[in-house]
Amino acid sequence: MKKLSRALCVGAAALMLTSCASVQTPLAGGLYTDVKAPVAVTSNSGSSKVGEAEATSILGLVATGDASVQEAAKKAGISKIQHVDYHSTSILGIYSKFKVVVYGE
Amino acid sequence: MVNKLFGAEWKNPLCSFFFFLFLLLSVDSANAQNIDKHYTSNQQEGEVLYFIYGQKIFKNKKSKAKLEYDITYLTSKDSVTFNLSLRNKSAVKVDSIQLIKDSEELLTEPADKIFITTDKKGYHSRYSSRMEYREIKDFFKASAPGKIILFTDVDKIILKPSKSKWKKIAKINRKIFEVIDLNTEN
Repeated sequence: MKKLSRALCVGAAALMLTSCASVQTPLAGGLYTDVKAPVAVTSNSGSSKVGEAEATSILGLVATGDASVQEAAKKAGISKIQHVDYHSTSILGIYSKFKVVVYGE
Repeated sequence: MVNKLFGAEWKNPLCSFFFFLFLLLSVDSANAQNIDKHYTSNQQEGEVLYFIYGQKIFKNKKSKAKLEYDITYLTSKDSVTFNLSLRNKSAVKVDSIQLIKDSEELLTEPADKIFITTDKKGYHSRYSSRMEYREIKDFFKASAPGKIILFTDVDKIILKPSKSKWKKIAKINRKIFEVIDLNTEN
């Protein structure tokens, strides 16, 4: 029993250290990530609409969602994009979320 | 001390690992009042654009319909854009959106279709509506969970949140609106 629990512990730690559900981010935190960063800026000025789209990953085993710029723009009815940011969140590499935020008209 | 309190289980490394994991996850939920991750702002010429990220707390248990909404506010205007996504088994044509606060109608506004598409569990209907800023602010002041009613071409869909989720989200939104007001006041 003791050996089994040690093995499970080592396994769990290894799982953590490999950052199994890693997410795109300019700065990654091993334990916790909550980072916003830029994707693109266009020459269009001003924005009155904002759209978001996200994808999530659990344990690096299952990843679903549509975090494309197109989906985010479509959700807010944006036809002229001003700029695009993204927001990455990750907890212990167990749960990760990648969100794209599009600003425009 | 810990061993005295909780017994010999704490000598087990597995127990310690899961306790550590629990603490880390608790930190995230305890930070729920850190509103920064719930909204974003964008400084523009003579105004600020605020966007409250999508919130998924409203659902209809009977039809299993789920609603997600986001709020966009330009400080130069008196109204907000209330965009919603309804995920339902069937496609619906939403005519208007009604907000209910403390069992009374707060507002009813027409809804404009953005798109209707299919997803894994049925249909994803996306609609947009304009609402008064002060009214949407008022909606989240209710202590009892608010209701959203969607009037469709055939029926109406009543969507409610759980008490705990409402309490958490209403508190976050009140704080966001407080920050917005503090920045727009002269």
